[in-house]
Amino acid sequence: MFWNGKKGEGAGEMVMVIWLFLLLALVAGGIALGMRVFFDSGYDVREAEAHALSERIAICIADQGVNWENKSLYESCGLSVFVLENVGEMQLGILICEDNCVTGERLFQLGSNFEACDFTGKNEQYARCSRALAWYENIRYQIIASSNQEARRVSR
Amino acid sequence: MNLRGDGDVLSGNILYVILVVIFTIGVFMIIMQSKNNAGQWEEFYAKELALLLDRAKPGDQYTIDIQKASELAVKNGMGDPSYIIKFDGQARKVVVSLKPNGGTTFSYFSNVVVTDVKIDGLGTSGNKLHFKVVALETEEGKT
Repeated sequence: MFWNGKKGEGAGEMVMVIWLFLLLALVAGGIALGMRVFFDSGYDVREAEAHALSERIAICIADQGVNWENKSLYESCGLSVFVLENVGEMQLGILICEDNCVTGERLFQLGSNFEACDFTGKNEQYARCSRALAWYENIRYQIIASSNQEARRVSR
Repeated sequence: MNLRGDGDVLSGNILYVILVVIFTIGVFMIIMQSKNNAGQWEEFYAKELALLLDRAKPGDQYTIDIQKASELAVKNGMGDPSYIIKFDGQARKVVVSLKPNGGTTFSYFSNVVVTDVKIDGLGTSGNKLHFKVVALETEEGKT
């Protein structure tokens, strides 16, 4: 198309076309990257969700206590077993300890890797955590809740 | 005078211009599509409503301003307001759809369900979502 048939003639134009396309591709890539960073950064509610979970459990323990032997946490605190143990697998975590979670007894645990809570500022992919304290019958409880739940796209 | 040669240069330039115009239109369309950004608004509404339900107590009644959602839904050809926001009580999910072919879902962890969902008629201003939160009375709820 840009080549007029004579050997050597038009080769310069061809080089310019390739250069033009490279330039356009570079500009398009830059715009796409900028749009992605600006618009698709996502709406992060992990910290708020973890806070809501830890706060709900703390209030529940302080108000009425929980029978740890029967594992009645879900029922006592109005939490959904379905979401926490199925849908929220690896996305929502709960750790409840007597006194504190370093030396105290672990009374309830859902999920793992609560150690990552100490590194949340360093890696975006780590779950966001919230800690709360509750007192019931002179026993202090520490609650650590974590959330790494992301929204899911569904098609119809 | 080499008229044939001039024609080649002209057609080459025209092709350049056409390609640049196509490229510009393409980029403009991508920007406008992203500016509409229904996906991000779906995520926003789904997450905020799920957080609301995480903190909700049975008996609570809510009225939420969903003007932005309804504007986008109307723009994207969603005529029926009942499809915009759905609460799946069985799976404890909020599903928000602002496009005809999909939506965004987010789970809430509290053991409640939403009833009496009502959305004021779709328009471009003052749209409200009304709903009531009730306790879930199932075998799972008693576990």
